[in-house]
Amino acid sequence: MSALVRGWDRYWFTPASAFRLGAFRIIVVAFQLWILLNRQLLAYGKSLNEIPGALYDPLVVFRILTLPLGYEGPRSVLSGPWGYRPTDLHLEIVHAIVLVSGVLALVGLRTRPALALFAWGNLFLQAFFYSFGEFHHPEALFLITLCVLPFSPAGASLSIDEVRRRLRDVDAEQRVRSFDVVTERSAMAGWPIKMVAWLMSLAYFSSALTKWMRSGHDWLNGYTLQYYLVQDGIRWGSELGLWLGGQHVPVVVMSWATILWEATFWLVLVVPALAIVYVPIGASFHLGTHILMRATFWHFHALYASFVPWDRLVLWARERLAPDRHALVVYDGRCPICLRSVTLLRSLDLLDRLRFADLEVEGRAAIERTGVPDGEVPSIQALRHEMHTVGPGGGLYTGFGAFRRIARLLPPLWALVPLVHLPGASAIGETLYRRVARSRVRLGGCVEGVCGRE
Amino acid sequence: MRTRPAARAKILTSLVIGGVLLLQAQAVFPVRRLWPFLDYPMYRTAHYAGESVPRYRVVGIAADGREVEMDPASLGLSFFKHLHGPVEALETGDAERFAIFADVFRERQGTTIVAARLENHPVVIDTSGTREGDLVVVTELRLPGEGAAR
Repeated sequence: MSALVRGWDRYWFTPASAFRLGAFRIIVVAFQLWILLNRQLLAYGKSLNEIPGALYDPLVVFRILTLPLGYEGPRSVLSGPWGYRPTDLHLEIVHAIVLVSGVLALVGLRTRPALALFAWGNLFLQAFFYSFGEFHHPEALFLITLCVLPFSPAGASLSIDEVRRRLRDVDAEQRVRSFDVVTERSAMAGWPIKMVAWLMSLAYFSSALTKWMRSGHDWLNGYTLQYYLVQDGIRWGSELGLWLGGQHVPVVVMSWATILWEATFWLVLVVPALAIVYVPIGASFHLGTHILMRATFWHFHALYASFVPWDRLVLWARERLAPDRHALVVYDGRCPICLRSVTLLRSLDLLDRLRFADLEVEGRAAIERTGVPDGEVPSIQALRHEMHTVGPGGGLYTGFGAFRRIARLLPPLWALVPLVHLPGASAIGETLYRRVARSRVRLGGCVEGVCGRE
Repeated sequence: MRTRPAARAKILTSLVIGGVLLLQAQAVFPVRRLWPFLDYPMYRTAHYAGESVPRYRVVGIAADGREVEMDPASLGLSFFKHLHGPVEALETGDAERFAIFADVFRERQGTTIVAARLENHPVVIDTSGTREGDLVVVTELRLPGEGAAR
C-alpha cells in the first residue's frame, strides 16, 4: 500500500516547472477569452432564449450549478422539468463575471479565485448552450481542465501574484534574493499538465475503441471515412471534403492513420518524449477535420499547449539569442524601492539578459569591469542618485534612459518599447522617474533625493 | 496527529485528480452521459460501397396549399437542432412535437403550416466517387387541431 502511495506521490508530485504551468494558464485563459468575444457567445446565449420552453432540457451539470434555483424534487436534478432558465440579464451578469475573472486570471492577479470564477462562469454558459437537446464535444476536456486549474499553483509564475509575493519577501528581508523565474520548480506544478495528457489519452482511446467495438475492421475499409467526409461536406459546405470523399485509396490510408494515432496516443503517458511526434500529428489531424469536415476542435489545440516545455524553450532561446550580451544594472542595496525595482526586473527577465550589482557591495568596480572608460564611470554619489545601467554594447544609461534600455531586453515589456520611444516620452518618463527617485527612503534614515552614506 | 499543510494539499489534490480521472474513465463505457465527461463515439459506424448519405429537406405545406422549405435558418435553428428537432419529429411521426416548430415557423415567417413532408435527396458513395441518388419521400404528416385550424 505504501509503495502505491509513494508511486502515486512520485508520479503526480515530482517537482516540475512552475513557469510551464504559468504559461499554460495564460494560453488557455487567453484562448477562452478570445472564444468568448470572437464567437459572441453572449448574443448566442440570448438567442437561445427564443427557443420554446418545451425544448429546454438542462444538462445535469447546469442543474447542479443552478441549485437550488430550479429544484423541483430529487429527481429533477437528473432530468425532467427544471424551474430555472437564465434570463438575458442573468446571462449578461455571468458573461461579465467571466470576462473580468478571465482578465484577472490572465494577468495572474488573485489567480486562484479568478480561475475558479472563470471556470464556473464558462461551465455555466456552455452547459446552458447545451441544454436544448444537443451537446457537442470540443469544449468538454477544455472545461474540465479549466475546473482543475484553480486547485493548482497556476498563478505561481508569470503572474502579478508572483511579483507581489516576491516584493513582500523583499520588504520583509530588505535584501534581494537571487532567483530565476524560468527554472523554478514546484511539487504541485506538474500534475495539471499530466492530467491534461491523461484526459486527452482517454478521449482518443475512447474514440478508437468505440469505432473498433461498433465496426471492427470494417471501419478501415475506406468507404466509412468517405461516407463521413461526404456527409459533413454536404452539411457544412466543404468542397474539399466532398472531393476527398470520392478518393478511395487515400481515404483508406487516412483511416488507418487515424485509428493508429487515436489508439496509441496514450503512449505519451509512458514516454513523454513521444509528444514531439503525437502532438504535431494531433494538431494537424484537428486542423484537417476542421478544413474537410468542419469538425472544429480548436480547444484541443489550446490543450496541446500543455505538452510544450515552455521553460526549456525559453532556456533554449537564452542560449541562442546572444547569450553573452548582458546589461548590468547597478542599484543601491540600501534603498527599499531600489530593492523592489530589482526584484521586479528579475521577475521580468525571462531571457536572463540582466546582471545586477549592489553598489554598496561592489561600488564603482562593477561598472569598471564592463569596460566603461575610467573617466566615464560615475561617482558613488551619482550612482546613489539614480539607477545606472550599462547596456550590452557598453553604453551607460541613467534614470528613465536606463529603464528604456532595459525594456528592450525584457520580453514582458516589449509591448511598451514603442511607447517609451514616442516623441515626448523621454521628458514625461524622466519627470516621473525623478518624482519616484525623490520619494525614495534609504535604510539608515537618510536621503531625499541625494543618498549619502549613513 | 496533525497533517502538515503540504501533505493536506497533496491529499486534496489527489482527490481532485482521482475524481476527475475516474469520471473521464467511466465515460469510455458510459452508463449515462454526464457532460463534460464524455465518450467520443463520433463517426464510429462503418459504411460500405453503395451506401447513400441522406440529405433531408423539410417541406411545409401552408394553409393556402403553397409548399415552403423549413430549413434551419428559417426556424432559427442550428443544423443539429434542426436534425434532432423537426426532422426527427417527422421521421417518428410525432405531430405534437412537430407542431412546436410549425408555431416557430409561423412566428418567424408569417406562414401557417398545416402539413409537412420529409424528403431525402441522398448522395451515393462508391469507389468511383459520389453520385446523386433517387429522391425518397420519408414521411408526410398532417398537423392536428389548432395548428391546422389557424
